[in-house]
Amino acid sequence: MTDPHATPFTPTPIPTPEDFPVQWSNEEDAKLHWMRDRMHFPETVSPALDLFFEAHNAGFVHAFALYEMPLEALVLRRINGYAYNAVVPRKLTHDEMAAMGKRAQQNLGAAMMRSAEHWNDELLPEVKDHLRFWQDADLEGASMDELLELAAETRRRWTRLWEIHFELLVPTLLAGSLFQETYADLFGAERAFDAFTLLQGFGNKTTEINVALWRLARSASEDVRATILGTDPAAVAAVLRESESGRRFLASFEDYLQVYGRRSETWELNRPSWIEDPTPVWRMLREHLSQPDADPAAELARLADQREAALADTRASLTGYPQPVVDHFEAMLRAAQDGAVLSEDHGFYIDFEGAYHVRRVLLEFGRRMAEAGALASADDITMLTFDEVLASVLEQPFVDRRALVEERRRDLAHFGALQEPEMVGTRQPGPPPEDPVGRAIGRFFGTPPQASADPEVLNGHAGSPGVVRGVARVARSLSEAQDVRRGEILVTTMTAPSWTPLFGTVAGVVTDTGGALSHSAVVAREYGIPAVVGTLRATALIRDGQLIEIDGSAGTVRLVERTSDLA
Amino acid sequence: MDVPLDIVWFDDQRSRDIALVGGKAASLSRLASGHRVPPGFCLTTAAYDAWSRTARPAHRQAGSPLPQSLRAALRDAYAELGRRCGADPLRVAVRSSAIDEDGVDASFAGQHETFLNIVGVDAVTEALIGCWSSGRSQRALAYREGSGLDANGIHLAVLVQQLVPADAAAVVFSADPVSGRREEVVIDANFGLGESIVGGSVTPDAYRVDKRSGAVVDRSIGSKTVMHIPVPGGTREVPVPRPLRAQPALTDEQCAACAALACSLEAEMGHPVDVECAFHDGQLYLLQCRAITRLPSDPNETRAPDRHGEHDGTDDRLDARP
Repeated sequence: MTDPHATPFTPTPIPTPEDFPVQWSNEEDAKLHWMRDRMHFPETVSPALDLFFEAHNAGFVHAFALYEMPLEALVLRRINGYAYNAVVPRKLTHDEMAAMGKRAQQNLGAAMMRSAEHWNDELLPEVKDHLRFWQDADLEGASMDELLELAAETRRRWTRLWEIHFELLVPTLLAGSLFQETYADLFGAERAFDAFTLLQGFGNKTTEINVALWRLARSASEDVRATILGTDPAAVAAVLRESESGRRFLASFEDYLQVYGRRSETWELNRPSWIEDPTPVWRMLREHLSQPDADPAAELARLADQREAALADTRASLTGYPQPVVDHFEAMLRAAQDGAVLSEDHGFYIDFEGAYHVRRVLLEFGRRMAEAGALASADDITMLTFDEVLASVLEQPFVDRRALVEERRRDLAHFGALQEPEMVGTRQPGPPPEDPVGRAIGRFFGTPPQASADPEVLNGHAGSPGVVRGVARVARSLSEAQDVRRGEILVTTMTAPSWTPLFGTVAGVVTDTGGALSHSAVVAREYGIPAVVGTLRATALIRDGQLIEIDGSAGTVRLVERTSDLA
Repeated sequence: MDVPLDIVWFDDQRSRDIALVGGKAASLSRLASGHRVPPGFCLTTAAYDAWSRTARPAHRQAGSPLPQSLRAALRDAYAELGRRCGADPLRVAVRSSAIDEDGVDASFAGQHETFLNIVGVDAVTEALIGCWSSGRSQRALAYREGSGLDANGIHLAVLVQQLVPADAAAVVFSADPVSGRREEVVIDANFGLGESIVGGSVTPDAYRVDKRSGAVVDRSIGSKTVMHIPVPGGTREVPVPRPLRAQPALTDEQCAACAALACSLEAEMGHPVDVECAFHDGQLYLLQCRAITRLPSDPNETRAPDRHGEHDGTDDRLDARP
């Protein structure tokens, strides 16, 4: 029997630029439609990240199977040093696909209603067990056999953390999307943004980090304050160590790092954690000291008040609605509110602390290989894949990887300097299916914005409400973004959760990637600053220092100062 | 009748007197004796006559105030209805229920006013005067003239009934109106008031319930893009939130309750029926019941077409719609 819904489609290879030859590690990969993942990995990635991709990919396979989703996997791969992702559909007939889609919606619907309990009662305790395993491990004291055993455990536990990650996140992402749809349908597209007001002002691990740092700043004595404000952040610790009050403050600072410092800049394994290099923390401290009245706890309370007032209005507007509709709204609201908190909290434990421990294990191998002369420095370990690391230390003496590292470095520099293609592999039919799950994916990764008729206006998606005018600070990495000044508008490819503290400094955010449910939008709303997301081209079109005005409700960026007027 | 009877309640035998309350209110009152019909009362033709006498002719169209005694009686009845419904504020529907001098039901569709979701005695009074005045509107008079009816022979009763703010509404057929099959009950349903189903503004959910077991044997979830909700002074069409559209408007238990209601009405009336009903706060309310018009013969029976197959349904229409 022929499938009446099947659209005739012949998969065709996507032409790749001559300077970007792709060598597929397996035939199946060549048949997939790979999209560049700029949202999570705007820059090139290190070979060590293959270990993360392995965990990430297994995590999606787990979640898709658990919820019976019609997708088999969402795969991340390193292709010529860049991260690409591809969706792997299940090989099903149209009818089987539709039936599975329905089951998935039921399963996800049930899961989203209990995501907070699921996380607090089951997942988080397990996550903490895994983290404790690494905390308790004596890396330096371990024999090589013990270290290899630990490496195998690391691989297993990190994969498990990412299974938990997507088991939690797939339903919460859907909850946010469904709530947004429900709100827009009930109160009109023009009020769609108010939906997010109802999700704001809940404390989460991210705001906790900021509040704790602000308290730390408030505890600084007058001379400590002067030192932090007047010293290069990289040198502050050395200066403070010279005075009694400075040493006291340093002790509190260390305590802070022990609680909140197990994180680095991105999902990458080649960046130091805050514990290893606390310069970013000193920089944020300086910001807090120069703004003593910007109390993040008070801001959070203000957002919570705003939320409760908006909720009272919303409930009043539902007078006369059928009870099932009111119940549906309340259920979606609760699921989305829980989701808003969990979308931050999970990252603290899984994305950051998990990666922190994996990096420590890698660095221990790096230290031993560097000592044995198999690497030029311990840090070079991230230029090897995990399998290469293990193969190296199984030999005696260790396999010398110095030449390989140099070659990898040259390759990365070569590919990093050219413009990588948006997609590679084999073209697959159409956009994601028009169903709640497909729409949720669109709201996370973003969909192409409407082209703007006005050359001075750049269109994106509404990310966080409000209008603000300011100087654009174009930054493609967190280190570039460190120069951003209060009142400026951050223009970037995307923001990883590690960028969050910057949201307390900037007046607005513009991103190339993402939708209304992406991290940048979620955090901007939490900080009450306007955001326009998913513009595709903001970092290419907007010049550093250019005066721009962004409308986070309309999703537009106006170039107040014409690009042509800039020198 | 010694004392003119201004107001009668549905549970009062006299409310089945068409000459006193009009056809619509009389049939509704009959249904109320055996089923859960939203409670209400009627302003009788006697009350209309009293108003009509005191109102100066010029005011009969524009709306003339109520006589003092009637005003007091209406206030008391509205308060009593609120107590009976346990609702404060009480939302009511105010509808015309007309008869001719010869006692024939004259509730011409659309010719007389209906006011939905009226709250407060002042608004009810206003709606009542609106109903009465509508009987004298140019449109109504022209219609009567065109139908060869006496323009002065109209007597307008008005019924005031609790408006059930439906969580979900259904139109239930005790036989399949398309195939004529008698062993299944066919239900169309949507969230909110029944207007969206009756008016055809949505593709509602469609359910089939086996009459014997009460089990849902087939379920087709409609697109249900919009629903009707009560708003001050009327109703409004609003979108159903997208995620809810894929959810059934009725649970299996609710489907079974609808089917049981339709079966019992079918048994009472002696032929297949078309029922409008609504759920609110866990209760099933009967809003209207009438014979199914032009029902095909039962394909499972070999005999000649059902006598009721040609029934036009007008004379035993039992309208309980608020």
